[in-house]
Amino acid sequence: MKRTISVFLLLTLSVLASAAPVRPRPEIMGISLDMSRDAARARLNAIGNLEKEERKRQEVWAVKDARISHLLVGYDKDNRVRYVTAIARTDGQRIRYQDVADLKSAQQSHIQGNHKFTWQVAARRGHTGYILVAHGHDPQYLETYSVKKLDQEEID
Amino acid sequence: MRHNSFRFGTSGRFSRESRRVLIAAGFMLALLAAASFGFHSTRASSPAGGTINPTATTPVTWVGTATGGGAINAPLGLIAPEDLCQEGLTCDTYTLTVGGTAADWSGKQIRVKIEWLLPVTDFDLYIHKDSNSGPLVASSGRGATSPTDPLTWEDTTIDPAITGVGVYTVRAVYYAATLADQYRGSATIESKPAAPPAPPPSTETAPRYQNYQPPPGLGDSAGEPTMGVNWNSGAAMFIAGLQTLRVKFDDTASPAPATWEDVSASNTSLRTLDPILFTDSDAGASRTNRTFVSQLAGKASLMSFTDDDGATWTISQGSGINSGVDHQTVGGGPYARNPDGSLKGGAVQLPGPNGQTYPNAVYYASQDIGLAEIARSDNGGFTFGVAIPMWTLAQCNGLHGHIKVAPDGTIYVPNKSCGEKQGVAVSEDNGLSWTIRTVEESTSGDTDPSVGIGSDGTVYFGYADGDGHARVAVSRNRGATWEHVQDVGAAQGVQNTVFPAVIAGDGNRAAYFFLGSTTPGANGRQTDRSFPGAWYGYIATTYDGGVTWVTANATPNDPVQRGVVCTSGTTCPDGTRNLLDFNDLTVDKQGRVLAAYADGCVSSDCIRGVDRNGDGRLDSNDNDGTEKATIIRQTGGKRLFAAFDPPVNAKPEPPLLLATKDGDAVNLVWSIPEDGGSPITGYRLFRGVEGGSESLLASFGPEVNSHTDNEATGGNFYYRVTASNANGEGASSSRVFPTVSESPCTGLGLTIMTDAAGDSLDQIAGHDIRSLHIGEPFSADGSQKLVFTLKMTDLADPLTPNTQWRVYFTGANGNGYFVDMSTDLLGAVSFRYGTYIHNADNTAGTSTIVGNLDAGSSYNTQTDTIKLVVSNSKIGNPQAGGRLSRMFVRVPVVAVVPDNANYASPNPAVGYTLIGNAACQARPAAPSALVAVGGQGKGTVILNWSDNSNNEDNFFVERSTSMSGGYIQIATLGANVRTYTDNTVFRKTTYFYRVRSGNAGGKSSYSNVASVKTK
Repeated sequence: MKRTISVFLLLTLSVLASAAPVRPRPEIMGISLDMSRDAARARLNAIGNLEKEERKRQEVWAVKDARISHLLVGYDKDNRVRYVTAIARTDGQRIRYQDVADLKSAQQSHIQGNHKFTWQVAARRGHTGYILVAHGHDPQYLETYSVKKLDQEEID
Repeated sequence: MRHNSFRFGTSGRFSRESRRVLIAAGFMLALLAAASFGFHSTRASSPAGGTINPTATTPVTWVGTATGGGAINAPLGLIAPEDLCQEGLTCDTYTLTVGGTAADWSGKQIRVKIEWLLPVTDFDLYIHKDSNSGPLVASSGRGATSPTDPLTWEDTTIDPAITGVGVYTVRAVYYAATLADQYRGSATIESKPAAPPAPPPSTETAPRYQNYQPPPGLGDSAGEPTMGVNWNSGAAMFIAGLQTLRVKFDDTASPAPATWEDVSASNTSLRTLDPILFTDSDAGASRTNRTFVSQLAGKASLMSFTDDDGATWTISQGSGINSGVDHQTVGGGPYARNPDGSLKGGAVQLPGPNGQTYPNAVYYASQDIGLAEIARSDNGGFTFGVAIPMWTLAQCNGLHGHIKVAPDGTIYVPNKSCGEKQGVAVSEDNGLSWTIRTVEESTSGDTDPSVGIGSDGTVYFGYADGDGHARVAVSRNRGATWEHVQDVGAAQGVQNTVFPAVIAGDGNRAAYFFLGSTTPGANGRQTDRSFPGAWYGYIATTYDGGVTWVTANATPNDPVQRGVVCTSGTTCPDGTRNLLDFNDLTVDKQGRVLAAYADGCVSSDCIRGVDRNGDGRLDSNDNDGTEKATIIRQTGGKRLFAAFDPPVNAKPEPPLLLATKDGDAVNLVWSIPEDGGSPITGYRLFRGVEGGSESLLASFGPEVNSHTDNEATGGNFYYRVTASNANGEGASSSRVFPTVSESPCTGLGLTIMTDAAGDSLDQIAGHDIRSLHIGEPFSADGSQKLVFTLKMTDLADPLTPNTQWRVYFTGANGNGYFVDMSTDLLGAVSFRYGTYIHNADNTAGTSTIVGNLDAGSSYNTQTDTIKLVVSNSKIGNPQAGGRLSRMFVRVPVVAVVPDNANYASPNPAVGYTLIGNAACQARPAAPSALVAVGGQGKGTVILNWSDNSNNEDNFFVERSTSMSGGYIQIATLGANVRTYTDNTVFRKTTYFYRVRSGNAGGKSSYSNVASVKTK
């Protein structure tokens, strides 16, 4: 009986968990905001290859992933991750906007085939606030999504 | 310093980080191996050097000997640059001596190559002239490699015909390499590749230009300027740094004088980041001439717009998007419309702040989070809509050039690197969707390309190609295909290009402005302070739809920059990024081209090319590193709008004439006007009286641009001047009346200080000081006197009693003096002088009356002036060059002082420097009747003239072999001399002579010109 109850509770929790809305997260594929450049590069090296470097401490990484073709990473002056942008594959497994976070909590704009969802997470207990932005031309599937720190802009 | 040669879109390459890990073990092994052999303080290749001669048929070879390591030891972000490498450890050097003469290498070049075995290994190659600290001649630093796309070499070429023979150092930098995979080097002679076909020659004549700079204080920090022109008012609007400048040109004279004004908006003059200006006059009949200015900021750009050239501004919401990390741009123009006239993409025009609908779309673009985005405003820039991505960093470079909108509403945003090509992002639906269209023949460049759009929609795309050359491509189908791709700098020998800017007019006319250098080498655009080139502003123009271009150096004889123009952003060495990232080009209503740039070379030494540090070459060390705002404005030649082309056989335009009165003489100077394409042949100067007669005062050759009228007494004359060319005499300048310039010799003398009106405490106008003047009018008896003149608001009789009008000063000998006019209890007037000791704490000091001033001291209630004449001997006997300083004025009435000037903590700089009595004597009359005849000998000329003056000190004889110019002074003779024998002439040569007299007051005008042909 105990075993039956345990299985039931586990199933119930699983269902609840799967039904729970996805919360915005300050990372993409293990690249987190505020991560050091060394740590980010170690992770990026593990999942892909550096394609090019851009001005303002920006990098383009091709990643081995069924859903994402590239990660764009920007660092701040202290060489910590300022933003990460994922470029979704359009010829593979697609990513839905709701896979990023709960659409109900997103600010949305839909203009003539340009869809944009924005989530803003306020700073709390020593963690910087951040923003998530998902873009796409398809109403269901995104083309890019980004996570970026809110506490600074890199405009030197 | 890694070179930007990563291939776009490939995968499976080894990253630098992974290679770091891979080589780490190898490096440790290498260290062990090196330790077993012992380290050397320096280590060259093996062999250390060799010679290659022009006729060599076999290569010279060597192998590397350094231990390797490279990136492991380099700080993050500074990956194994050459200047950080350690000889023998992370780099080694092979000394290659190139034999023969430069001419021997014609048609040949030397290919220098280093090779290794493993794709994970990476070396970089640098070649310097003379030594490793000499100029960088060539380099090769390709990036990551992979097993599927192996790249196991670096190579580059030396062209001794250009860079010379002698010693070169070939340096291999061990970027990611160890002893386990050592490189092998070789130098091989090969034929130089055939030069690309020369662009088709143009039959057009290049337009002519004038450069304009604002006065000091305006436009002093003007890197990466942008500009526009209001087609209604004609005003040019210019932004750079914190200043928005309005420039007005007066086209009644040539070159048009310019007036610069600071009209900065409040919210764009506080902080500066990538400022941008756009005037909505580029395309279509719906141009509004509204000017937008914007500064990059974090959440939204700081933006304002004006409809009256900056007199008033409306603050905009700003970009409405995160303006992001770099290179914002603003543009605008007509909306793209559907066949039924509706706006494409469902765009809806909205009322602006004034309730009116703005006819055009306004766009704002920038990059953030790895995306280049654009937002549209439908209410004239007051608010902006949602940002739409144009591309990602995975597709194109993040930076972009400036937005241009075609008359049909198509939007173009240029980019220097999209898949290793240059091109444009194009939107045909008012910015909702974007397509990237590249120029197939192009390669990625260092600076942003630019688009100009003709009235028929023809797109002109100017870009600094990957090889540094200034190329242009033309599209008539919105960038789908390109034609007439060509190097517009080739005719001028331009090898290096930065900052392209393009503008078009009629469909078949466009102009392309770029900074160019005839010195080759990518290092000229990177970080090499030893790059020995000079950069000039070039403008190429087409009148046939881009089939041919005619290119002119628009800054001749005055470089924009000496040394490198660094395009490597914030990693640039100090003083090499002064010009920042771009320039701009626009066109006015009459089709004149106007270019905006920052001038990095403004001093005389820099312009002339003085080797300031004496290192034998002109490079960044000899540059000023300034960023002075400059506008190039077209003055002549065909315009971008054919309707405004000047006539074919044009006469010169009216010169700008300036006239200043100097005593009885009038100094006249005039500009060299636009010549209509035919050289100026001469000038005619006229003098007249308003309402009266006018006469020709003098005619001059084309080299003469000034004249002194010594016979201007007795009339209120005006002057005007005309210029002539082979097509005839051009229109006259405006009539100009001489302005009076202050002279210590005439009038009141020099103004020493002024004081506010109405600030007398007792409100008595006779106590209200207005100004103090000092002069030294000439005294025929040679006496040295000074005349102080106090001007009051209203000096009236009777003067108030018990009052002093007193001027205090420190004499040239350091003692204190005063001169004054005073009244006693009964109002009796006296003029006195004395000594004064000023208290150290600036409170009133002690004055002692010594005696009376000189005759001539007086007051005048008509002119409200008090004249105080004092012999120099009464105030310490100052001589010419001596200075009276710390001058102040007080007007005490009994115990109160209703007014004073410069009294509280007197400024010691307020004063007067004496010129001496002799300097103010009248200039002598000009000699006349000059005659030149051959002397008895075959090498002599005898001159005779009439002496028309009695106050000359000297006569000056000048000679030339041309009547119109080129005179040099050959003799200085004493007073009353009337003849001179010139025995320094060549035989059978025609000489021209002229003579003038002079004294301490100056020189007379010239005599007639006399000529003679020697025997």
